[in-house]
Amino acid sequence: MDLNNMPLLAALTKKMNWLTARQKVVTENVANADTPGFKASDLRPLDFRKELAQVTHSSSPKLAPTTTDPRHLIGTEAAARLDPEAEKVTTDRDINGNTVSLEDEMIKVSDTTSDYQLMTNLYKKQVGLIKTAIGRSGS
Amino acid sequence: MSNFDDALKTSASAMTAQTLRLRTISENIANANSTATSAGADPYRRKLVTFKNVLDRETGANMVKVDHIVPDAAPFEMKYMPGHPAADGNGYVRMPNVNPLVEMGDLREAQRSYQANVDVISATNTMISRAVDLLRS
Repeated sequence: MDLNNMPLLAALTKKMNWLTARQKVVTENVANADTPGFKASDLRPLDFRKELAQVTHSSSPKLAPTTTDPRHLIGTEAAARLDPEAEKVTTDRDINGNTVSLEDEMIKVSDTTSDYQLMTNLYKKQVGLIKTAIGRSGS
Repeated sequence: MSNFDDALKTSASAMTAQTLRLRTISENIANANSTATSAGADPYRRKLVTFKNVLDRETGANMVKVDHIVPDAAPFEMKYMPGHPAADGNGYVRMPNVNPLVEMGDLREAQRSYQANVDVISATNTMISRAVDLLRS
């Protein structure tokens, strides 16, 4: 049984993919905190409520990437359209053109980690429910 | 996993760059009093590290590399020491253009950046182990 055929689990997986991609972007920001001229970037926020509504209330749950141009390729991963988007320039811009605020980035790191933990816990719970349903002791 | 790997690699590259910066700073501090041995020769010249952002073609990650280690063009300080072997005709010795206070400030900054990268690595590791924990449920 492919667990990703279940709408809730698919949505959770998508959010986890997004969080992983965001962690990568934030890591790049932190790593380049001293690089002259580096512009901080962030991912477009994922609307989890919308994603969940899309997968739970439609007859054919789809998590395929939206294409805005006929030449766009449809990726195999649901996270394919998560391209980093340049963030607004903050006021504390360094004299060397670097726009990374280490404090903001560290907050994002802890946000991402705790959100990820929330997602894995929900995933575990859901799998536990399925296990209970099929007659094994769920955790 | 590739995003996690990229994140770890990016942090590691930044840590390597900061370590090289730290090494240059310690060279500067160690040589803060390294004068020339003969009259007219230059004393130790302060070194500076510049960073650059490198896109890793293989993974698409924004890595950090040390661009150049450049000499500081600031003028040397003159100190009156007539008995010194490097003293000029007027008894002045050219001292290195190293300001220990500036070096300590740079050192602290490098340390903070390094620490931030270590924190990000441990956060990424937490996320990875959460994902692995799903197997145990």
